[in-house]
Amino acid sequence: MHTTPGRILWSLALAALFGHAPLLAQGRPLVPTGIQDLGFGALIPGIATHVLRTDPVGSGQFTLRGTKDAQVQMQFTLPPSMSGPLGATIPLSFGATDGGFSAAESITNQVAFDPRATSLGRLSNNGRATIFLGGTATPGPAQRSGAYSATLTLTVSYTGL
Amino acid sequence: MNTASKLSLAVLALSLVGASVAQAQSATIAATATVQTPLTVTGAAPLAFGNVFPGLAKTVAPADPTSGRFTILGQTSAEVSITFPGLPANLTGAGNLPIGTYAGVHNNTNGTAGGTVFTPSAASTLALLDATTGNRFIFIGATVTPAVAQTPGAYSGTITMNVVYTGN
Repeated sequence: MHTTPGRILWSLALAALFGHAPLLAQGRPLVPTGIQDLGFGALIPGIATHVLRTDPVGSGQFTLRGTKDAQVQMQFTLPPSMSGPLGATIPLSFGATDGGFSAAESITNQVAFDPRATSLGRLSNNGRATIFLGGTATPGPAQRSGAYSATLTLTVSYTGL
Repeated sequence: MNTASKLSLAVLALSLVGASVAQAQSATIAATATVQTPLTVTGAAPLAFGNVFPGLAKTVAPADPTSGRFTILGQTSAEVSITFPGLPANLTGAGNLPIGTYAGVHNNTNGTAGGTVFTPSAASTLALLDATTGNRFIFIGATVTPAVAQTPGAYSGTITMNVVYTGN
C-alpha cells in the first residue's frame, strides 16, 4: 500500500483492532450486579404484602458500574408470580414507583421509576449507581404454606448520550 | 488489497468496537417468600366455677382442672400476639354475677407446668408456637364474687381470644 488514503484506512482498522477507536468515545464496560433479593419474608395467607423500594432489608438491589456520567437504559423482566410447593403460585405485582435509581448509591436518595417500563438513568461521576426494586405479593386465603421464589432480571445498556 | 477492501476492513473493525460499547448486560436477583401455616384457634374447655355460694368468692386458677382452655395451631416457631378483647365483667343469668381477676398461663404443652404466666386482657401477650408441633395452649382462670343475696341459678358468659401472627 502506497497511497495516503490507503495508509489512513489501514491505520483506522489497526487502531480499532488493537482497542484504540479515535472516532468513538472510550468507556468502561457497563456491568450490572444483583446484590440483594426482593424478600417478602413471612407471608400470611390472604394478606398482601408490599415491600418498599426504600426497605433496606427487603428491597431488591442491583449495582451498576460503567463509564462516568454515562446515560443508561434499564429494563426489567418481571415475573407475574412466585412458584412454590406442589406447583402453587403467588401473584406478584409492581407499581409505577416500585423502581428507584440512585447515582449516589443511597437507599434514601432515589429517583422513582416504573420498573414495568424501559427507563433511563445517569451514572455518577464515578461511573456508579444502585437500582432498588419493591413489589407486592398477594397470597390467597388458602395459600399453600412453604417457600416461594421467582427470578427478576435487569437488563441495562448505554444510550450513548 | 485494493482501496475498497481496505475500507471494508476498517468499517468492519470500527463496527465491532461500536457494537461492544452498546451491548446490553443483564443481572438477576430472586424474589422470595415463605407462606405461614394459617392460624387455627380452638376453644377447648369452658371456665367452669361449678357450685358457687352467695357471699363467697370462688377462684378457679389456670392450673385447675376446670380452667378455661384454648388451643392455638400455626406455623412452627412463629410468634403470635394474643389478646382478650372485652373480657366479661359479669356472668349473666338470673342477675349479674361479677367476674374478674383473670389469670392465665400459656405453654407449648397441654399443661401449665413450666408455662408462662400472663394476665389476660385487651393488651397483647406475645408467645411462640412450638418449634415442632406449632401448638400453643392457653389456660384461663378467674374469680367470681357472688353477692350475699345473689339470685340462685345458672350464670354464663363468653370469653373471646384473638390470635394473630406478628411476622416475627
